[in-house]
Amino acid sequence: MGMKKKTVRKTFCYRNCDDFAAYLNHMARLGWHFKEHRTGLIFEQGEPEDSVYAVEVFSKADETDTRPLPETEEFAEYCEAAGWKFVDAWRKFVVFKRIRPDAVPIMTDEERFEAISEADGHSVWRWLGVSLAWSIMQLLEFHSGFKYSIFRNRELIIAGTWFLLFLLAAARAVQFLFWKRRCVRRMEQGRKLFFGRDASDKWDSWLYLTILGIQALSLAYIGEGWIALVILGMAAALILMGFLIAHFRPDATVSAIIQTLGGFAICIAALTAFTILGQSERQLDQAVVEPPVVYSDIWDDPGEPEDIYSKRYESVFGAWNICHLEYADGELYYEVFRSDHAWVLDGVWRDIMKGRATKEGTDCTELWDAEIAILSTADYYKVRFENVILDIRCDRHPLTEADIASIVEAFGLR
Amino acid sequence: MAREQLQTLTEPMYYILLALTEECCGVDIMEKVRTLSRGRVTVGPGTLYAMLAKFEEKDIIRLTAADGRRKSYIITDAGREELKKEFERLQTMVRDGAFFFR
Repeated sequence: MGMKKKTVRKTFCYRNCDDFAAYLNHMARLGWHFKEHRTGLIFEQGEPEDSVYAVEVFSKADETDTRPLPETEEFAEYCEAAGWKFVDAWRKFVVFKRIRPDAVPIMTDEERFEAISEADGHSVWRWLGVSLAWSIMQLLEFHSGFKYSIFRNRELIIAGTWFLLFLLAAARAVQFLFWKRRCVRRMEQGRKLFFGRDASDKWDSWLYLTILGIQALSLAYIGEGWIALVILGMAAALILMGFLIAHFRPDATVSAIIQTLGGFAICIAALTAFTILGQSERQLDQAVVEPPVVYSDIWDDPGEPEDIYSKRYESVFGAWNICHLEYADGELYYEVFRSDHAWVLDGVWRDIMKGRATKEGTDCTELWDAEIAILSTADYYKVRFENVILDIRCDRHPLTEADIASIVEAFGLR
Repeated sequence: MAREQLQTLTEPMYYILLALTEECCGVDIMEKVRTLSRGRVTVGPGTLYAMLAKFEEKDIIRLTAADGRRKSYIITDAGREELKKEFERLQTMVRDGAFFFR
């Protein structure tokens, strides 16, 4: 009859390998003996024993390995000669059980520190790099199309999430550097190193989950919950793939192929979902609104418009109306940006002032009695007041003082 | 392989190379080092595994046989030369110190 088994889903990072070994020792004293790792730590029930386990970090293994490499098995031969029996290996972890009381320590503190700091360092710097790169991309997007980002809560939520993830990655990197320095000092003082958990290791994963959870809830709150669902779907697919790989433990080549193809398929599925669901969103387009100001609010009624394009985007930083009205005998195009934050309007002003037609425009500040007003060579008036910017073009050109007074009143610019 | 910045061998390196002046299976080197040093020097399996790989890479030792995971090595001529230089350096140090500790 088979021995009773149980799977424990407990995770340790490389810096906690001594706590990991202590945990295995503790379980052995309770009668649960570690056998292997698949989707979690698998223990087999037996007699309680005062076993001694050692968990080492093997540099030649890879993060994606689910089973011992030939090099790991060769290393295990040396360890067995030294009094340590090989139990299992996955990723860069190698677990041994002591079989002789006089067993020599497997590695020196310096060697362990080097292997562990290299292994954990890869993860820390890689994640810092990825989150920094995404944050910079978001910043560049904001910079190149400020008005398209600042008035959409969705863009702000996504950019904010990446920025928070970057801050967390940076905090991890700083914590890692402090950890390294502490270890080096202890070694210089001739003190033994113990690679155990500290308080921050416990909240690390929870913080990531909290940030992603806040993002999902925020997107759902603004009616963009479908984005969160696609992201959750991707995450679930990746977790399932990882679970299956961990359970079946294919060799390194097969595992790499599965991860590459699987990752590719998940990305394609996610992009397809974004495209289809995004297309549906565009068809519904909640940004479409009644034009806030029409031709007849300013001048004589030219009749019904033959074509209307009117959208409004709103975020916590303000609102942006864009409208284009075509009449049989007239045309009106305008964009109105409203915000209580001067820096937002500064960014919008920089955006709308790009382009040679504007740069070569004429100053008409006095005519509008505004903070600043420019008439571009393409006949667009770009006008800034305290809390609002107006970008307007119409068939009645050039505008007279009376026209401007009507426009100011219709848009409530003062 | 020497400590590049100092051009000397550490104690474990020295004794591993001494052990490999005769063909020896990798897993037996730990016991041989203990015997040669009369129990004074202990080489852990992690240290040994890493050093054998580096010695082989630097052509200080060479693989003579491989039976599954078990490999045997022997020191090369270049390795013997490194070992001899280290032995002579240590002898010089002993001679220089003998005046003070007679």
